[in-house]
Amino acid sequence: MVARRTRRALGYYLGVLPFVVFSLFPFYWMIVTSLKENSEIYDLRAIPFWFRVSPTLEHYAFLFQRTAFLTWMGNTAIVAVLSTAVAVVISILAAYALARLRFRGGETLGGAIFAVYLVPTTLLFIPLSEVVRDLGLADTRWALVATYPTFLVPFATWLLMSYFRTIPLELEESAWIDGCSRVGALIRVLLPTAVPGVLTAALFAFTLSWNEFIYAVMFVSSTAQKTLGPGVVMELIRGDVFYWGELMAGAVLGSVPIAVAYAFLLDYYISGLTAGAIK
Amino acid sequence: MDTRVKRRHFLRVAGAAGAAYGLGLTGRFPRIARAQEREMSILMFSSFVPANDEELRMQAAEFGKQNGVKVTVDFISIPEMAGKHASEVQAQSGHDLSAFENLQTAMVQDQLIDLDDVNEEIIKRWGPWHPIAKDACFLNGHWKAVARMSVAFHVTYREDYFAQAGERPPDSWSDLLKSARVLRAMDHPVGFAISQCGDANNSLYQILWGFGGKLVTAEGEIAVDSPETEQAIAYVQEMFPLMDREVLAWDNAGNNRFILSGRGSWTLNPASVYMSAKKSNPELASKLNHQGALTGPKGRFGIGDFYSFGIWKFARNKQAAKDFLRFFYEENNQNRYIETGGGFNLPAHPHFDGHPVWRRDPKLQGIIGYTKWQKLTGWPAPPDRRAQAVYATFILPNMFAQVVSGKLKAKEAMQWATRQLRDVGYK
Repeated sequence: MVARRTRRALGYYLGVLPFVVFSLFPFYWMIVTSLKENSEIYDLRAIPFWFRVSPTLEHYAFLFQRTAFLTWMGNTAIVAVLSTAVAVVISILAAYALARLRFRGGETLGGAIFAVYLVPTTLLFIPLSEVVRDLGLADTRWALVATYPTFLVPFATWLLMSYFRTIPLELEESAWIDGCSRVGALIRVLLPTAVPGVLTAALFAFTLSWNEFIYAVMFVSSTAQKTLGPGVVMELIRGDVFYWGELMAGAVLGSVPIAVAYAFLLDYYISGLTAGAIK
Repeated sequence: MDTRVKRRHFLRVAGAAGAAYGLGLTGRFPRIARAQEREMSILMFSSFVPANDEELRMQAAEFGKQNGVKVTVDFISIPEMAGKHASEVQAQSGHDLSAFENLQTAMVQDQLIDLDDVNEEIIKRWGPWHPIAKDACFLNGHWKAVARMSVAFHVTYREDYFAQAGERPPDSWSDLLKSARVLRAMDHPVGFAISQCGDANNSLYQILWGFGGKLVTAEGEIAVDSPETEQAIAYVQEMFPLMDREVLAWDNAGNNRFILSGRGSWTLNPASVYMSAKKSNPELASKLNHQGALTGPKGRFGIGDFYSFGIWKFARNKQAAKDFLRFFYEENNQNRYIETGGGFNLPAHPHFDGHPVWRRDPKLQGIIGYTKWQKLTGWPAPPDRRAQAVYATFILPNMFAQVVSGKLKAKEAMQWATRQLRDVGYK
């Protein structure tokens, strides 16, 4: 009996092992490289997967002492949190309207919103430059808070729209009968039921904002306003010289908030995705 | 108290907010006024040498103090610059003074003010620029930019490996072939990129020109299918087995890694390899040396990334930007700027070829005056969008790569390149 259970467990772990290795290898590589001395990074005799000499924290020290890394982290957090908040609020309202209200062109509008998500940011940044200028936000992190919802809202709306449709309308109808307004039912009945969906949308929006690169490069230039991705890349890639150790250290530290967010919200995320967009 | 949100009230507030946002987007709100007229901003590439960036910042601050102008300098990396230019041109707003690389000046020349006066002052003071400065900055009868410096694509080699091989550092492409055979046998091959990266363009243009080949004539006519190009292809084909096959996959840092790993004996690259080694591996640095351009049957040609400064027509403070260029080109300030560059950036003006920074370090003496051999990418084609498209789509490296990897024969590769050149607009 025990042997059978062990065999089964072994089967599960062996089955999942390739996926775990595939997913975690980039992080492993980043961590190992960030702890190697420069001479070892370039040494062909060294084993690339492990240390030949003792690990060093010099790349992390460089990052904190000789770059504005903490400022970039702070800017990224502000931009990601605010743009996520803006996008989620707009998306909840839009998704509710598309999922629950009947009006002419509703279906088409839903499709059009998703189509907007498919327009690449590498094209959109050019017209958005004018918007940023007109809002007087050029070269400030607020330019990113204003522009990120342009790609966050379509995706979050689509996801939430699908999620809201899985929630029985009868719940809201009961609330209306009990005297609740439509907005009241949305806030008191629908949203509490849709927490996994909302958190999934928020998590996705937060991840997209945290990792966004093109707008952050195009709309922000000064070091004090830069976010993490552009800050690390622009200050640690100089011509054909890559500060590999520092780049990897920046990537490791930059991944931590996302990893923490997913670790805490993973259950919501899975139920949000499986009950909403995909089902 | 009833805290419920009334439907009408909600719609009213949401509608007002939406309208306000819409008005803001369409620019009907008065634009937030720019606080001060006396402000000037500079957009620069992050230099390989951080001290160079600091020096520019200091000079900008000094200039600002002397002239009562608040100057800001922003640095971004090279690959992001073209997008940044596109964004600022579209918005007709952004920095006053911007850095440009290679053909970028030509591509946005309509958006730049003329800088004839600043250039004429410099020429009057020190004589003409290196020829490449005129190729890059003098466009349609006007100076549209002021040349800044060049990151030259010269030779970096291992003195010890060449000594062990009993070979002299090559002066010609045929010398290199001879040395490469010996060094391959020692397992310390030579290498240059034949891949989709800027370094491959810079390496292979030198070879193409050295054998008398060209992609396009000065009149913009396609000229790649020629016996001279065929000779250049044959040369690279002969070299390829003597190099590591990885040269087909190198990025711009591939040749840096090749030498810094201790494996490679010779490559084409700026002095960044040497300067990185000085910091991280001084023993290796002591074994490196540099040399200028190699000569081929049709002459000696160099290349590199050439940098200049231009002032946007939409700049808010054109006069201050112009005055800054004058300040930057004062002899003392240029000398300081070159000094902090540590010899990495070569001067655009021959007046500074004799700067002590290159004489102080014997390892850098081989590259003094390299700029005089330098041609702009695409040469002799006119500097324009088509030449930039050729550079950005790697037509030249792909032509060579398809032959050395056995995909096409030389004649077929030249015909392939002809079609590609036609696609980007050449006749």
